[in-house]
Amino acid sequence: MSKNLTYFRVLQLYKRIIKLSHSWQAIDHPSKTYEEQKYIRNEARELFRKNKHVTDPTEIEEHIREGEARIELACHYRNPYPRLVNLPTYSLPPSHNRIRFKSEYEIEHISRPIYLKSYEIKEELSDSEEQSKTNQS
Amino acid sequence: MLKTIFRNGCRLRPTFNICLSTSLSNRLHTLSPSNTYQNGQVWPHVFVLRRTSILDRHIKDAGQMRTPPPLTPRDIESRVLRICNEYDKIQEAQKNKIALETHFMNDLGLDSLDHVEIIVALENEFGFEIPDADYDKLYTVKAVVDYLKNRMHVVERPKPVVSSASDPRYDEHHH
Repeated sequence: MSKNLTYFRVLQLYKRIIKLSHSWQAIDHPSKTYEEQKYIRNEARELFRKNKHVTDPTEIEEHIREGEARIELACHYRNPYPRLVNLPTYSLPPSHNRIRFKSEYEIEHISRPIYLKSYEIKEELSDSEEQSKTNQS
Repeated sequence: MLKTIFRNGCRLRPTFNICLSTSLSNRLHTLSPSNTYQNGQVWPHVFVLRRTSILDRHIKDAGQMRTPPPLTPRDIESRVLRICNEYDKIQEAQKNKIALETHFMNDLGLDSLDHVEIIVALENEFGFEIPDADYDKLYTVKAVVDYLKNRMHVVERPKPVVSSASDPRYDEHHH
């Protein structure tokens, strides 16, 4: 891996998260301090490794922004877990008897907050499809 | 020191504040059980017991210079090896075989993120910051040990530390 400036920035970000995990104190649930510390460290390891192969410089910049946003949010709200989001406004949930156009998918991708960039959007199946699958298995 | 004596002494007899302060300041250089008995206080034995315990503790604290023991290179090596062994990503089979010549990436199969974690653990152990520019010099255990030796100015055979600590062998008369 070439040792350019972004490489060092990524390592610096990782170091900041590891140091945060050492000094983390849980305010809302004091007994869960160790759990939250472990969570921070494991999330950092997983997500950094998952995005290791990214080569596009703009994408790398956005991932660095994602990391910094997660740190700031965790420090501000004293809560390391990300706040999950649902569908954007004025959009309908996917259902099996309605075609979802490409623009709808694009709008959903664009409106996702930066701190959830590394997490995939889970496709929710409707209830009848799930039931049929569980019946078959 | 005098303030704690005032505080503890005054707690016993709040109404005799004034005469306490004058008597102590007069007899500051020769504070001993016989002197306080002559002050004519109602509970002299209680005051004497508190005074000796406070004074003894303060004299002992002032005499001991609490310096950490001097570091030897073997200390540094053992601490570095211990931290490498405690890292959870290394497999059990490789843990006891870590020697001075092991390379973190080639021999132990770690990547740059694990390397960062190990160096952060070393920073916490030895108590000082390692700047980012030095990270790519520290890829083997030997390099780490040499770097720490330079930073902490550790010599082969350290001279004995001369301190003004009171010798515990001759301290018996205080008890």
